[in-house]
Order: sequence, then structure tokens, then C-alpha cells
Amino acid sequence: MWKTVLRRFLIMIPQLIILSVIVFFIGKMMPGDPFTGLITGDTDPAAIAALREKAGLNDPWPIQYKNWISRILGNGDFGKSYTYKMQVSTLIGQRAQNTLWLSLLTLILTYLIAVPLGVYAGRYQNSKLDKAVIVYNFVSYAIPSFVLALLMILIFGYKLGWVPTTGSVEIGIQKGTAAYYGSRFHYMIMPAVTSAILSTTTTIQYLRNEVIDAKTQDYVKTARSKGVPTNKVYSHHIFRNSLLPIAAFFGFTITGLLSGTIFIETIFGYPGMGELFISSINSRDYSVMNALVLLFGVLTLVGSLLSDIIMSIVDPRIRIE
Amino acid sequence: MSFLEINNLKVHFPIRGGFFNTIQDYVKAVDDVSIKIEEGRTYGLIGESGSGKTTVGKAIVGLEQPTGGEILYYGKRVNSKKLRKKMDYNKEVQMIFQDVLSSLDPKKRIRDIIAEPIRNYENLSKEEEIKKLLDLLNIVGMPPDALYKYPHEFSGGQRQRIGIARSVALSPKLIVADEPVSALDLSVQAQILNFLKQIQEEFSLSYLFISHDLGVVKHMCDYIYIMYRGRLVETGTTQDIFNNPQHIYTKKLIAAIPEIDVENRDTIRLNRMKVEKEYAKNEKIFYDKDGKVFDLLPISETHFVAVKSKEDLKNVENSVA
Amino acid sequence: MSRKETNSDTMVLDINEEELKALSDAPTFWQVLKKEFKMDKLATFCLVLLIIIFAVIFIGSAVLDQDQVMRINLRNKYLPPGDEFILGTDIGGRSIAGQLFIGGRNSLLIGFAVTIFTSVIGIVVGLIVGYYGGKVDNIIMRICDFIQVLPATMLIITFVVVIPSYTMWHFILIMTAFYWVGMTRLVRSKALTESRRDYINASKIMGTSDLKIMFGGIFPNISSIIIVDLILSFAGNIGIETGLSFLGFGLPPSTPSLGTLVSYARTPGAMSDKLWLWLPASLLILVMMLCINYVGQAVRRASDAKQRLG
Repeated sequence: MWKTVLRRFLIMIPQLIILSVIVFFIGKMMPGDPFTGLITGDTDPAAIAALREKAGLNDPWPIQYKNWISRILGNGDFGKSYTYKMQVSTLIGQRAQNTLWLSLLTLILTYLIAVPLGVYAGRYQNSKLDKAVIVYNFVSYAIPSFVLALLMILIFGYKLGWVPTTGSVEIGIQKGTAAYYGSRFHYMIMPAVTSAILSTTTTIQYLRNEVIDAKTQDYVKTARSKGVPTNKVYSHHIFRNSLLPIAAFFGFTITGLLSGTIFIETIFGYPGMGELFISSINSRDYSVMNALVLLFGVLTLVGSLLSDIIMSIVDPRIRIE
Repeated sequence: MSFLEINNLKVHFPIRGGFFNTIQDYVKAVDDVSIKIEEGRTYGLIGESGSGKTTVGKAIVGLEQPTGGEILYYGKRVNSKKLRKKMDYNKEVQMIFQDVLSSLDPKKRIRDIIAEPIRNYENLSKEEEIKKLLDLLNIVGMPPDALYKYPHEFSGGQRQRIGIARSVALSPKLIVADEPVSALDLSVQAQILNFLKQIQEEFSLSYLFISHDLGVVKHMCDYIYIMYRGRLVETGTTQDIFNNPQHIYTKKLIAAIPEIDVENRDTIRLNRMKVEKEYAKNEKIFYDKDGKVFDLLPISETHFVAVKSKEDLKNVENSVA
Repeated sequence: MSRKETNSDTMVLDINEEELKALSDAPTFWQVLKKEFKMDKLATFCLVLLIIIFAVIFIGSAVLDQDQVMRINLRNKYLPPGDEFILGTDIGGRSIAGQLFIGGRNSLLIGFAVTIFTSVIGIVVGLIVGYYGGKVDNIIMRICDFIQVLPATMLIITFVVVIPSYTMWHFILIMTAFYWVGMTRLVRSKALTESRRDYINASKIMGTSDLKIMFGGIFPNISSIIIVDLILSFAGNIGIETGLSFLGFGLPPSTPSLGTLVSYARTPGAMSDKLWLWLPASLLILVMMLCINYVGQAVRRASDAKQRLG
């Protein structure tokens, strides 16, 4: 078991290195450098040039890469943001919190929607409910995220007026009060529901198939023939066994959520990391953009690592060869 | 004179494992097997499943790469794909498969299936090709309209006939028949076997019959090789094997041939129990301390037995007598 | 000898090839497919609707003069749907309906091109590594693993931004670089299973060349699964392209896409009183996605005997 985890970990190391090299070169391809963020109207160009020379920007690239990566690993130094005039790490730290809360709410909503729908659809296969779930699942699979998000804003934000359409909290509310948290939740609910709808598809489909499969398994037949009540068969036997693979998908669900934040946060104007990425690109704030690509890359790698590890715990058959 | 000689054939599969997935050990699927094939004769290669008999067959036709030993075709090595191609080896050595349906491409018409080897080796016009195909169908007793059908439209016995027609299309010298009838109904089995005998005369073919069933090959083969755990335990003419079996494993195989003889069923049962007892008692003489089969020793010009020493063999006979 | 003496010369003449071919039904995918669509009326409806949409888009965009549609005319700025402009106009006074044709065509063509590129790479690479296995297979699969865990959307956006003098072809290439992996993995795993079957062994023994075995033997036997994946990834690629264009990082500004039209939703007032700007394009994307995916599912059922309706 530990051997599998460790080996999977070792596979990740070259992946991380290659990823960082890619990001490094993207950075090189972009106009500007870490000192562009320092330039204001009255900066002396010669001073900047000296700084550049001192920072080794004229060195051959392997040395530059070494310096770059050791600054990041050493003290999380990604340089300065051109637009926000602050350390990139500080800026991302603030936004990461928002994304974290949104993702958490999305995850909770995803499982709140997906688990009951999947189990019931599987249990009452071919019933009206099952058919409705299939339709729901089909539509949520096929609809592009930005179309869904826009329609949600149109319907719930503008036509019904239930929720605010942009931002993360109402302006002017005292931080830390109950009203403040209430307002944050109010702002978060729509983006969270939207991305939850998009991320339920796999879980529902998997759960439904698992339950349908489990119904014909011997252990379920045995339990039923012993006289265990139907509800108990579902809650004690089928549900538990079906949930394990769902747990295994956890890592991928997180990865999916992360890549979804770019669309969701941008459309809902929610100040998280995804929105920061797009706005930093629009304002050509390269140091922020570069740091975010690296960060998302690492997070995606960790997500898939997590999934593989959980999977190998849950199902020993799927261990990495 | 033998035209095909297999000398000390070894096929070892690596077992990988450990932290770096290195080769830990080998499965000796085939270990030091030597076979000689003469023109127009029929050979049996008998063993239980997992004994390596199919691997020997696959190595002979070139589907499995030998780890050691040599395959000599008219005295020339044909161990590698390049050498086989140079000698047109696969024109002369063909194979009939156990799983007939799987050996015929489901998306191709019978015409294209049987014509495949012809198109690879002979440059025939369309008319000549059709003529040859019809001849072949006629030989295997299939109607001409079979040409344009698909494999799924035939019964198991018919499919095997098609497989045979394909394998004799190039008038080969040797056909390796891997359990050619074990997937067929009993009534069809005899039909196909008789039919194989018939075309043997017509094409002066040699057969290497691979089977787990001594009974089936008893009436077909001139010479029999018996395999156990990747090694030969006893080889000899059919008379040698059936009238004077020496190895305890051979004896067990012979006793296991099913017989419908209601009147003598008690005698048969007693005989089987006797063989079983002998097996337990004499294991040490025929297998070394690791359970490995000894090297073959000659006991007559045609008859070879894998035993520690010939003296032990006499002791066995005495103990039984 | 029981063999009858027949004169095969006359037999050749007896055989009517076409007639015999017609008699025998191939286990072809197309027949199963026809049956499946007969059973599933909704799938047939989706297919017909798709054909109509595609036809209208392509004919319409061929008839329209792109330069004229894209010409800015500020006098017609933000006209609501009416007699002159059926679907109204945008900020530059350009007809939304006209842009729908041209954007629709661009989006479909890009989706199509990316699907073809990724599939050709996927099929060739997948067949080769699946058939030969070994070290090359190992290396390619590690590369696939890596590409699959990359944050694709972000990297595409980044490349779009950093590539100088960026064109539609750059976009297609970038997308292909990230999305060839799916088809490759699918084809590889199917080719791997298929090449273990005896008909492939038989072909090897009979001296058929590896290339012929791969493309003449394995490929036809896995084609139905490939078709399913083609359809579904076509839908997926349109989704990705319109999504990126929506964010402003897809097609270059000179090449309008459906996504560009949807992005008008982010102009002030578009949500409350200028719905005509973005809703038609959104609905068109939605309808196409639903239809393509539904057709894809019907085809998938047909390719898998266990799921068939008919």
C-alpha cells in the first residue's frame, strides 16, 4: 500500500519539474519581467536595467530557471503584480480564500444533489424519477458551463431577482458580523449551484450504475433472502459499497472544479483565483498569470495524485503498475 | 529426415515487482523442450492447462519470442521475424486455433479471410484467386456461396473448416493445431479429426496436435510428447506411450481418459486409485526437490522418460509388480 | 476420398458476386445504427434538426458577404429585433443574425478541424502503441498521463496570449496539442484488447504486414467505438472553442465565433434589456450541444450490444 503511494509520488516529481519548465518558458515568452511591476512614471530606466543585470536576467536560461524556482520554493516569491502593486503571493493568497470557500460550498452542494439522485434513480430504475434524473444528467453533461451560468444569471439574478449577479459580498457591511457572512453566502450561492450542477454528472451516473449493478449481486440477494428489510439493504449494503468509488473520484472532482472556476468566477464576477487569472491576462499582468498557471498546475497534479491514492486504497485492483 | 527441429526451446516470462518494478524472477513457461518434425507425420503435444504446450506451439509459428534454444528449419535458424521472412517460413508453417470464432476477423467476408495468405505470398489474378478459393472450399466441404458470407453466419464446425481452408491455402508443410476440436460438439469433433487426416494425405502435411486430452490424439498421432510444468516428461511413439507408459504423470493422464464401459467401471475406478497411489509414492523419483521435472533419458530408440536415473525406473516396476 | 470432382472453371461463372454479397448481411454497424434510430424517435429528430442547422448555417454564411456583415455602422447601434434586422444589431450596428451565420460556421469548422486532427493523431498513435506495446507504448502513455493532468484551459489561454501574430490555425494547433490524448488512450486500449485476439495472431502467421494488420484488421473492428468518440468530442470541441472565444481567448477578433456573440452578454445592459445580443447564440450553442450529444449517445448504444434499444 505505502509502496504504491510512494511510487505514485515519485511519478509526480518529474511531472512537476516539466510543468515548472513549461511555465518558466511561457514566462520568458511574455513581454516584461519581475521588475516591470516596479516601473512607475518617475523610475529611472537605467536603474531598472541595473536591477535586471543584478537579478541575473541576462544569464543563460538553466541558471535563470534555477534562480526562479529557488525563489519560488524558498520564499514563495513570484515577483510583483503590475496592476495591484503588491506581492503576487499576497494577492493570490487573498483570492485563494474566496476560491476555497466557493469550492467547498460547491462540493457540499454537488454531493447533496448527486448522492440522493443517483441512489434513488438506481433503486427505482425506469421509474419517472429515474427518467427525470437521466434527462437532468444529460442536459447538465451537454450544456457548456458559460451558457448555463449566463442563463442562471438571467433567470435568478435579473428576472426573479433572488440573488446578486456579481461580486462576493455587499459593500459596506462590517467584516466579521453575522450579516457579513450571510451576505457572502448570498453572493456565493449562485456560482456554487451552477458549478455543482455541472459537476454532478459523473457522480450521479456512476452511483446509479453502481446501485443497479449491486441489486443483482449475490451479497444483496443473500441479505434480502435473509429477510433484511429493503430500506436497510439499501442503506447498509448497497449504499456503502457504491459510495467507495465516489470517494475515489474526489480528487478528480476537485480538479474539475478548479478548471471550472475560470468560467464561473469570471461570469459571476466572483473575486477568486480564476477571475484573477482572466483579469490578469486582460491587463497583461504577467507575473500574476504565470504564478497562477503554476499554482493550478500543481493543484491539478495533486488532485490526480489524491484520486489515484484513494483509488488504490478503495480498489486494490487499480494500483499503478 | 526431420525438416523442423526445435532444440532446447526456452520461453521465460519475467515477473516484475518490487519498488522499481524490476525483474524479480521468471516464469519458465517452456524450459528445454526439444521436438523433431518429419514430413507427413502427426505429432501430439499433450499436457494440462498451464503446462506450456500452447506457448511451444506459438513459439514454433513465431507468435512467441523464444528466450533460448533454437528453431531450425532445414538446418537454418528461424528464431527471429527477419529470418522467418527470409525463408518464407510462415508459408510453410501454419496454425489452427482453438477459439475458432476469434481466429476469423468478424468484419471480413470468408473470401477475404481465406485469401489473406494467398494475397501475401502469391500474385494471382482475380479469376485465378477465385478458382483457388473455390477449390479450397471444395476440399473442406463447404459450398461456393460461403465465399461472400461473414464468419458469424456459420456453425462452429463450419468455422473450423474455414480456418483449416485458410491454413492449407499455401500448401504448408506443418500445421500446428492448438486444441482444434475442443471448442466443438462431440459429434463434430470426430468429423473434423477425420477430415484433418484426409487432407493430410492430400497435402502430405505434418501436424503438431496440441491437446490436453490423450484420448483425442490417440488415433491421430504417430509420436507423442507429454509436457508438464514447461518440460517434457515422456516422449515416444503412440505405442510406447499407451502400451508402456513409464512416467507417473503419463500414467495418470492415460488413466484419466474417459471411458464408457459400465460393466467394468469398478475395475477402472480401482485402476485410477492405484495410479493415484503410485503417483504419491514415486514422486521423488520423477521430480527433484523443487518439483522440477528431470532431463529426458532414453529407454529405447524412440522412447524417452524424464527420470532421475534408469535404475529408479526398474524399482518402480518392481514395486508395482 | 469423399471429395467430389467439380470443375471449378464453370463454378466461377456460376457465381454472381453482387447477388451473393447482397444476400449476406455484414454485421455492420450501419444497420444496427439504422435500427437504433428507428427505435429512438428523439434521436432521429435530433439528427434531422442538426442537419437542418448545419445546412442553414453553411448555406447562409456562403450567401452572406462577411465583410458587409462585419462592417461597423454606428447609426444602427443596438437596434432591437425588427423589420430591418431580424435579431437586432450589436454595438457596432452589425446584424446579429448575420454574425450568427458566420460565427456558427466558424465554430463548426473549428470544432470539426480540431476533432479531425486530434482523431487522426489519436488513431495512428493509439493503433501503433496499442499494437506494438513495449517501451514506446510506455513513453507515450506517460506523456498522455502528463498532458491529462495539466490545467489545459489555463495553458491554452496563456499560449493564445503569448503567441505573436496569432491566427485561427494557431488556435487549432494549440487545442490539438492538448486534446489528442483522449482518442489516443481510447484507441490504444481497444487496439490492445483486439490485438490479443486470434484473428490478429492468424494474420501475423500468414505473413500479413504489421501496417495492414493495424489498419485493415484492428481498425475496422474498433471503428464503431471511434465513431462514438468522434461525435462526442466534436461536441466537446465546439464547447471548448465557444467557451474560450467567450472569454476572449479563442478565435482571433477578426474571426467571429458563437462564443464571441455570447460574450456580448457582458456588455452593460445586455442582461436586463438587450437580450437579443447574446441569447440567440447561447440557445444555438445549447441546442447544438444537446442534439450532438443525444445523437452520440444513440450511436454509443448501437455500438454496444448490451445497451441497444432495438
